[in-house]
Parts: sequence; C-alpha cells; structure tokens
Amino acid sequence: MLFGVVTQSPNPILPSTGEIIWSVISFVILLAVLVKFAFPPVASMMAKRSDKIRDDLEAAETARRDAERIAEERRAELSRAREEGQRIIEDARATGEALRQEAVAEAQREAQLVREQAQLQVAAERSRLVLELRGELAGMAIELSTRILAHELAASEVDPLVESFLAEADSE
Amino acid sequence: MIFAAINFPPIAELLNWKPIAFGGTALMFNKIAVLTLLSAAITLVLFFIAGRRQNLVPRGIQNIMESAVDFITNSVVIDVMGQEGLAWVPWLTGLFFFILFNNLFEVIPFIQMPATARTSVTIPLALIVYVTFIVVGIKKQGFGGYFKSALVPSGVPVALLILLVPIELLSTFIVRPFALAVRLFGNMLAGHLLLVTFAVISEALFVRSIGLIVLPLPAATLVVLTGYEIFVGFLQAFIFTILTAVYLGESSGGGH
Repeated sequence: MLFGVVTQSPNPILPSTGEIIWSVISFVILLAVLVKFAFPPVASMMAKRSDKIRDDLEAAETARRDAERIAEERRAELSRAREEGQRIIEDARATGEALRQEAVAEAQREAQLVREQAQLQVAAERSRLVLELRGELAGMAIELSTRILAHELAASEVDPLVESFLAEADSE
Repeated sequence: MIFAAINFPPIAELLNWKPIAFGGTALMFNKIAVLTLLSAAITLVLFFIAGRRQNLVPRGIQNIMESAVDFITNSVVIDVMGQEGLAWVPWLTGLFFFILFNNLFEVIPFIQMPATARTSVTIPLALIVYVTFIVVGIKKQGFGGYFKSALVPSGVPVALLILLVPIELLSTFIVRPFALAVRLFGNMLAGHLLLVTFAVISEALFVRSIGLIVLPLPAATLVVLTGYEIFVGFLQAFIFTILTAVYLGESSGGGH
C-alpha cells in the first residue's frame, strides 16, 4: 500500500517517497506555469527588443547612407559652383581687359583728334597772322612810298627814313 | 584534549528532515518539500516580475532574468542544439533555475540546506530528463531509428559493434541518468558537509576557548568555502542543464 511505506528513510543517501513526490510536483508546476504563462512575456519582450534594435540599426544605416549621398551631392554642387565662379571671374577679367583696351584706344583716338584740331588751329592762326602781317607790310610799304613821294626826299635822306620805318615796324 | 570535545552531528541528522505535515504517509511534507516548492515559486515570481515590467531598457530583476534567458539561449541551447533547439529554451530555463535555487539554499542563512543534496530531488529530475530525451528521440526519429542511432555508431566495422553496442547501451541508457543524478547530489552533499564541518569546527573553537580565536583558519575557510559553494551551485545547475541540452540535441537527430 502506498501510504504504508516508510517515508523517512534512515539512510541519508536513499531517497524518501514524500520528498520525491513534492520535488516532482514542484518541478512539474514550475515547468507548466513557466512555459505557459511566465516565460512568454519575457521572451516576447526580448524578441521585441532585438527586433527594435535591428530596425534601429537598419534605420541608422539608411540614414547614414542618405547622409553620405547628400554630402556627396553637396560636394559635387560645391565644386560645380566653384568652377562656375572661376568661369565668371575669367569672363569678368576678359571683359574688363577688353573694356580697358577699348578705353585706351578711345582715349588715344580722342587725343589724336585734339592734337590734330590744335595743329589745324595753329596753322589757321599762323596763316591768319601771315595774311595780317602781309596786309600791314603792304600798308606800310604804301605809306612809305607815299611819304617818299610826298616829301621828295634826297636819296641820302631815304635811308634814315627807311631805317626809321623799319625800326617802327620792328617795335610794332 | 580540547578537540575531543567537538561532536560532529550524525550525517542522518544533517540530511533527513522531520515531517512538517502528512507524517507517516507517502506525501510526507518536510523541509526538502518546502525548499523545492520555494525554488519553483521564486523562479515563477521572478519571471512574472520580469515579464510584467516590459521596459525597453531592462533594469533590476528584468535585466537579471533576461540575461539568464539570453545565457541559456546562446550558451546552452544554440551552442549545443542549434537553432532547432530554441523550442526547449523555456523548459531548460525552468530546469536551470529550479536546480540553481535548490543549490543556493545551501548558503542562505537559516535555510542552509541544498535540496539537491537529497537523491529524492536529483533522481526524479534525472529521470524526467531521461524519459524526455528518449521520448523526443522516438518522436523525432521513430522507435527503430532512435535506438539504432543511439546504440549503433555509424562508420564502425560490424565486428566492433559486438563490443560497442553494449557500451553505448550502458552509457546512454543506464549511466546517463545515474551520472546526472549522482553528480548533482554528490557535489551538493559534499559542499553541504564541508560547510557543516567548518561551521562546527569554528563554533567549537570559539566556544571552547576565546584564546583559540587566534586560530582563525577554520572560520576563514568557512567564508571562502561559502563563496566557493555559491560558485558550485551555479556550476552544477549549468552542468545539469547543458548535459540535458546535449542529450535532447542527440535525440533530436543532431548527434552521432
């Protein structure tokens, strides 16, 4: 009979029925409740966490790749902008040079014009002066000859007259 | 002589506990029964607490239990059984904690008795593992297939099988459960007796003559041994669990 057995064995190494039954009950209860109720929430939390970590890592990887792509684009844009700027500077320099040369040419042309005009004016003035002088000399000559004729001067007196006339013309 | 006064308690007094309830019946309830129920209860409570918190960043008990599950999953199940063994993680986790707490009762003040120092605890556990791995083997590989894979090593000349099959039979179906039960029981019993011995010596030295306190070796040894027994408690729980995983893995078709 089951309940008739000696439950407290005298030998310390031999098992005792009561202890066997209670340890089996404990272990079976533990496994049943653990497997059915206690373990799944912990396992699902751990699975959720590892999923989240994996997702986060993937998201971080995508973000990193995006950032790299954007940086690459920026670099390309920057180098394009630099080239563009360089080109604009070159253009400006060329334009400036052309303008400068044009201005120099214009100035030279104008200077030439002014010089020519001045020469023309000088020439005109000179011919006017020559004409004037010639007119005056003619007038003087006429006046002299008139004086000579009017006063019938001696040939010896003519020379001092001529001399005085010429001195007069010089002083004028 | 002064040491003659030390009286070591009879070993039965250290291991055979008096009934608390149901004395004289097969359901005799004593300290060992309390401890086994307690270890199951502690394990469940810890898992319920860990499962209820559900923090994304685990702390405290949740962290400890998750680390333990992680350890059993990676260092026991995946290393030994591979990915297909993952279904056994809850089962092996329960086994590990049940043995661990029953071991650690050895160093808990006022309890100071590892329930696993009783064959009443280790033999049923070993038998449960034994029956489980045989049932799993028959289920996975069929009756003939399982016993063939368990008893007949592949790639061995037929002449040698006369020698090998009995050895395999002995090692797999007789020695395994016996070794499993005796290893745990023996380790914990030895540790328990060691701690009792040094406790008795320390106590005797202290009580007999205060002058003998200048011989602190037994007390110091007791402290060191207590730490060592905590380590042994973890180690034996780990060994029992990993061997169970090995046996289950072999039965599932991973071995030989």
